[in-house]
Amino acid sequence: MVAPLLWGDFLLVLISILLISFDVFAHDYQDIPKEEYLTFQAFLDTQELKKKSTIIANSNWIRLTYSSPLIGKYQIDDYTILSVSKFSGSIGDQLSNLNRWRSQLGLSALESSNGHIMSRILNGISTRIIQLNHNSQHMLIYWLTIDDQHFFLKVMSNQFLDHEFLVPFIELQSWNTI
Amino acid sequence: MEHHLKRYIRRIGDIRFTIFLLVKLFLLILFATFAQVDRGIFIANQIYFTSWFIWLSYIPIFMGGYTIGLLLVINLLASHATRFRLKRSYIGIFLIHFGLVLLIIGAGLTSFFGHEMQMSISEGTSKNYLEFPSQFEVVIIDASDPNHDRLFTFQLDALRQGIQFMGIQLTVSELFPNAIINQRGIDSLKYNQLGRSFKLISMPKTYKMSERNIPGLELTLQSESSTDYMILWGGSAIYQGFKIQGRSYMIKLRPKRVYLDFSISLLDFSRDTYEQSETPKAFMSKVQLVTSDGIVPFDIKMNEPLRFSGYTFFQSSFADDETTSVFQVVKNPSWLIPYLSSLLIVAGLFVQMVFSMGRRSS
Repeated sequence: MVAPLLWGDFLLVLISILLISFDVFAHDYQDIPKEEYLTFQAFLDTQELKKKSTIIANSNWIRLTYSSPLIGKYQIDDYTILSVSKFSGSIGDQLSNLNRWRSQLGLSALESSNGHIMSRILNGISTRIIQLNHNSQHMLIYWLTIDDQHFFLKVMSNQFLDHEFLVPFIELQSWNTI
Repeated sequence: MEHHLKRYIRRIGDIRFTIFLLVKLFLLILFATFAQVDRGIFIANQIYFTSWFIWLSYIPIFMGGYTIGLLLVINLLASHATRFRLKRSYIGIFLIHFGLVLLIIGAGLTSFFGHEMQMSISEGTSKNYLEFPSQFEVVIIDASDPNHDRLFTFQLDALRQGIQFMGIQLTVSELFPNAIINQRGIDSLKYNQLGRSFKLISMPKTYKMSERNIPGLELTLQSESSTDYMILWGGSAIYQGFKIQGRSYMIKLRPKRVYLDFSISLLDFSRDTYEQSETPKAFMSKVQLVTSDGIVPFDIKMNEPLRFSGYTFFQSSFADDETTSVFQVVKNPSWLIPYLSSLLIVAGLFVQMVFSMGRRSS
């Protein structure tokens, strides 16, 4: 009488062990602490925000067509054109960029950039200002650096350009979101 | 009968069988070394060492690491059962062999029960989960409860067959083991959300250690009244949404996670380099271990891992301009076995040496 009962219990335990080992009683879900998720809608919203951040130009400037890496090109007056370009990562050292711009104006290459580049903080951004003049051609470059992003604002003109020329324009922009 | 059994065990414990197995092991290591050139360490390890057999389609062509290890243990035990004598002069041999058996068993246990995961934390944030960077799964999350999120996980193989979830049928119509995502020229109205503007492009699988495969899939969600199509990509941070009977769910393809009952906060990551060089000399992460019992500060350095609750957090690398720290996390219940077996082998060698010297001098 006792033996069949024991065998029954034994079988019950054995079947339970087998069922557990085959994950029969396993939950098909898990409750986890609350988390923040980037939903598709939130992603779209950030994309919209990014699209809204563009260059704010003076109303009397004429917008010109441009292609990458330029992010904007404007005719400021009859003699002056501004082009804005953006680069990420490595863009060469200070001297190589300086000599590149000098060659565009027909000036000879330099051995050192010392004394040819002015450093300032504009709109909270580390900015290098380069002024180049050759015959009746004048070039003024603002080199803005934000983390590994570089913005080059190049002004070309037939008239002399003061190094303060573009400062109000730089102060006006949200460079972080452009 | 007993005589036959003894003869049989003696044959299994034969030294020639040991040599045969060691030659097999040598060849296995050789094949695996060649294979890792093209297929990477991870896959070569999976095919040759953490397997019972090496398969050519459906035909086993060579013994895998598990089989050779098991046969070596059986061989060693059989050899002891038939040749070992309870004498003082056998103690050294016994310890050496016992250490070897333990070492093989330890390797087997590590392979079965050990896990290697990753945790990457940005400065000022905390994490309560670990990730398997090369194993992906589809998760569906119900975040409607204010106290916790309910997580449903699905293996990619199961989704290929099609599964039922809350009355809808989820089926993977296309699975790319390695894919990239690219913007469509024109929006595709067939797909919802991400798939509308983006498409998956299949890439060849990579076996390089420095790269990883990121899968992508096209998913069909079939209910009684409608059919929706989505694309999921493992490299995306976006959780897409869908509704079933008015209830919102989020879905994502992401690396497999293990949730912990504690969390780790990264306060600061720092890296020292050798003078006038970018070569790193030392990494350090200042972390806080946050448990239900309180907060414990800890510095995880290159050779000073954090050990807690069976997990070991090693400083592995960093990202995002040194603001994110990456930890290699190992859970290995049998981590003590190799130390113990090495000790036994050294003790055995020492005992054996003492007995040999004693015998020679006498």
